[in-house]
Amino acid sequence: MADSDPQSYLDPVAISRGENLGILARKVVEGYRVGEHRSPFKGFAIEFAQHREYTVGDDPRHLDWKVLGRTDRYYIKQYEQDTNFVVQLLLDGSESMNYGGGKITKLHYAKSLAACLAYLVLLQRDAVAVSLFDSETREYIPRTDNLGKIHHIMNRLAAFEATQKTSLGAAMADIARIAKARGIIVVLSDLFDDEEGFERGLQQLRFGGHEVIVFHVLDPDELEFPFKGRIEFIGLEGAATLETSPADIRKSYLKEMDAMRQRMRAACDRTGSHYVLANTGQALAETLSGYLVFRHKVTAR
Amino acid sequence: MTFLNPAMLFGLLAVSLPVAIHLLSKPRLRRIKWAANRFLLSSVQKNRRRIQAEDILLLVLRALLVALLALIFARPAFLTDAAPQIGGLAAPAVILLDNSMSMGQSDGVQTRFDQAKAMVDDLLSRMSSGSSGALYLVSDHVKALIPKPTQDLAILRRSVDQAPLTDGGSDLYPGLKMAVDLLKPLPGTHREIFVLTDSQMAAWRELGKIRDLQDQNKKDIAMHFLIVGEKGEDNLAVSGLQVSGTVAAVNQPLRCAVTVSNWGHGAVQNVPVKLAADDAPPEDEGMIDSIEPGASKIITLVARFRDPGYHSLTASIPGDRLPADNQRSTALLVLDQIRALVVEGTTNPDPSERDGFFLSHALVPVSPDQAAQYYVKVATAQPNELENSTINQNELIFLSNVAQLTPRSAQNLRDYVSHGGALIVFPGPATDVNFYNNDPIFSILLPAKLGPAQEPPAAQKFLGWQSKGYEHPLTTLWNKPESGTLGGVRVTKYLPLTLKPAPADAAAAPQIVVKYADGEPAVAEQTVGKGRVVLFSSSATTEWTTLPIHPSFVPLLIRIISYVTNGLGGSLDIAPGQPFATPVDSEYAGKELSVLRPGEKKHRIVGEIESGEQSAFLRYGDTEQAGPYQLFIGDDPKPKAVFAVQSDPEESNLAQEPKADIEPLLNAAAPVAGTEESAPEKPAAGHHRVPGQELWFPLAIAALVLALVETALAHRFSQAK
Repeated sequence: MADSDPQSYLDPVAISRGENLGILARKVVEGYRVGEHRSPFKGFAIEFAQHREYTVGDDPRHLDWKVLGRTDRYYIKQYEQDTNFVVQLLLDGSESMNYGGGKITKLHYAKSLAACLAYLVLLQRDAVAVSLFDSETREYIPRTDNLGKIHHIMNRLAAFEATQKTSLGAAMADIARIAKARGIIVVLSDLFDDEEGFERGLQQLRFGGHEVIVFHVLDPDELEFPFKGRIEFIGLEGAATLETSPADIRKSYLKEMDAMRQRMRAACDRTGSHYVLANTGQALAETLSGYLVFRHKVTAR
Repeated sequence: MTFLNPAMLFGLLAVSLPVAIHLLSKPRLRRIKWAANRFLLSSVQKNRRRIQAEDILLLVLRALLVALLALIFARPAFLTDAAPQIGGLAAPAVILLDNSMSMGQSDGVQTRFDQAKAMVDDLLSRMSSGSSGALYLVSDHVKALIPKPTQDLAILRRSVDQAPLTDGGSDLYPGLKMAVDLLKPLPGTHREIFVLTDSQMAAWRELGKIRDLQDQNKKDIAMHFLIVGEKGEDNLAVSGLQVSGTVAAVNQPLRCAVTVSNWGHGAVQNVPVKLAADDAPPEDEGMIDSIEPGASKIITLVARFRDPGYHSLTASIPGDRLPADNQRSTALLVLDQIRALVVEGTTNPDPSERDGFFLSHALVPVSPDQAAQYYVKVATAQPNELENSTINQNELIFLSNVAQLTPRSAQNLRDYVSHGGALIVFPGPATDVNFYNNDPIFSILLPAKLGPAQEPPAAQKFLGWQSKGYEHPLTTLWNKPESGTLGGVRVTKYLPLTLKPAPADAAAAPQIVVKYADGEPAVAEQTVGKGRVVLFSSSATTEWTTLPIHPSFVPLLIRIISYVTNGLGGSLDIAPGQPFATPVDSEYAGKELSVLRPGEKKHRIVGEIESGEQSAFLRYGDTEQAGPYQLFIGDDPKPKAVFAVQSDPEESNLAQEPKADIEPLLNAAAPVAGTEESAPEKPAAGHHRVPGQELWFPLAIAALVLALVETALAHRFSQAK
């Protein structure tokens, strides 16, 4: 079983493409050490940014003496400094993620995506933390920037099994509370949960200054509903069992599903989060590189 | 509403088929663990009513389709009081088409038979596919053109078109009986008989039996009588043609009595009557001044034949609207000469006292100078001359007062008779009764045993012959007062006759020719082999009886000559439809037989001469048309046999059966459209509803539409929604 083999989560193609593109913080992240990313803290480090007038309480060491000498005005020198960032990976481990119409389940796909992201982040010496949740946070792997920890992360991912209902809003609130420094929050979920709770969670994360990326993991069956004949749908996460002819309701279902995706995308847009559809029918490398290319372009502007 | 195939209604149970299919398809349900159930729930809730409505609609459509198919196979039909349309018939029908001679009566444009055919054609045009019909031609005999109901209407129509008219008489009962016997065993709830007739009185001759037949079968067989023609039309007919008591011989005047009947409503004046021999122009012509309505007049015309052999005579009157009975033919064998041998039992020097004196003179009733031309040649002989085999050259041998015969003579006589000779025996005082009764060879020839000679009772001086009520063809002539009577024959002594019991062959049974006034047989006859024997109970001389000097002696002898030579026996005149058969020499067996039918110029090859055990047979069966028929063997230009087909004189009476007599029959079944004669104003008590228009066609259209709708809806509903 692929789920039991931690190494299976690392897709060589995805890693290869991801290495080239890198994970660039779209927003200014608050790092805890110097890295590739711009720090929100403008201060006194390497690269001059701007002057501002001195106010009481400022450290006189940052006064620009040259300006004072020429203009007799007190200005403080401000600098931009590069910093590294922390990526919080929030992986939905609810029972609904167990569905897989093809070879792999949504959970496996999400775990692979999380593992690849973690590897890429660690590879560029940024830090990564992983939170596995369903109705609550089941497991939290604290942040680390040690690439050697990737095996530990993958083992923990492999060991996790989805059995419970989802409570995405609660999980996001937990992360907002835990992640004090601004960073990147990557949510990997099928989002089959309370939509208001999800949007609330997004808002909390955004208030905390985090950049939020939502990977909406869906199976092709869920996107296309290709079933024929008479089928009994056994609901996961305690949903009712339903017998129907898919042909009778296909259009209606697809409309509902599309509407849900549009709502989720709209919620992301409203909160300045990034919505990415992760179709498990697509190769992981395509999903990841597609997003990273997009991100690279955006950060380059 | 009724169902012509009700068993198929069990097919309605098949409406459960769609439900059963639905239930049986349940086990094929797939199960999937599904994450996005809330969208499914939402979709199902939104579409539940629509899906249920679609499912129910399809279920109803499919069940309806199955039910419609079952109904179509059950063949529903409206029950109707109105004109039944043969087209709506689910049940088989038999069409009885009257093709008797009277159906040939024309109204100036078309015959009754043509009208009847048009009515049948109309019936057939209303026949829907799936209906079936049989066709019988009915006259006084029944001919099945289509013996069993067929659904091939084209064949039915063609058979009706080609149906021939016969010159036969009318009798509806045999055809109706045959139709009932045919229909009764057939399945179904209802069967129909359509009778198309001119309702001539003769057709209803068995009216009682027809009523019984209808009563017995009225529940499941409806009889419709469709009547063509007017109530009765004028018709003049040759209703009789008879050779009046003479033997047809070469160059001898042959007197024929031609009877003309007036079946019209008014007297007919000046009716010319012609008599023609074979195909020649008329030999004689006469005029009947007047014939009262319903009466007949006889006119005697004379014909002569130049050649011996088989010939025909045809009497004719001017044409009218029923041409078939404007002429009448008879066939006869014209003899060149007849040799008669008179064997006298005793000898007497006085010729007038000889036993054969009266016979010899009566057989040649002409003056001595004409005797040489007369066709009967008489020779006298003694009993011992019968030992010669030359006796076979005679057509007739008379024994008069012969006491006994030698065994050889007896054997010769027996062979002579067996091979077609005629023997006429007159006993006398010399007759040995014991020999006549007991000789093992000779006694077999006689039709009766002879008693000892006796005289009339003491109170009577003589015994007379019967004066009326003659039944034998030899004596029926004297039933007519104008012919005189045999009652004047007086007998003073005779040998009482006791008829022998009839043998197995009824045709050879002894018959009484004439009786005494007290009922005892006076003359008897019987057939022996191919010949005939006539036995008198008294002498051929005036010693015991006045017969030899009675005026009837000569005609009686002539009739005997005619009878024994088949000239008067009527065997050459047959009824329409009756086959003709006559023995011929066995040398003809296997040879080609051809016929020249009435009014035709060319011979028609009709088969071969059949071979029998002792002789060959000439047979011909297609005798529906009245008139003379000539039969030829091989290339022989002379006919081997001639016979005539004569129609029933009653058939010329076109008067219809009084409506009151047949009203219950006409009312028993629903009237048929377009036949006012058969349409009663009010339905009778026995009136019953019959299946009318069948509904399978509109139902089939509905089923087709339903199937198309179901297919379209099923396709539409199966599209993703």
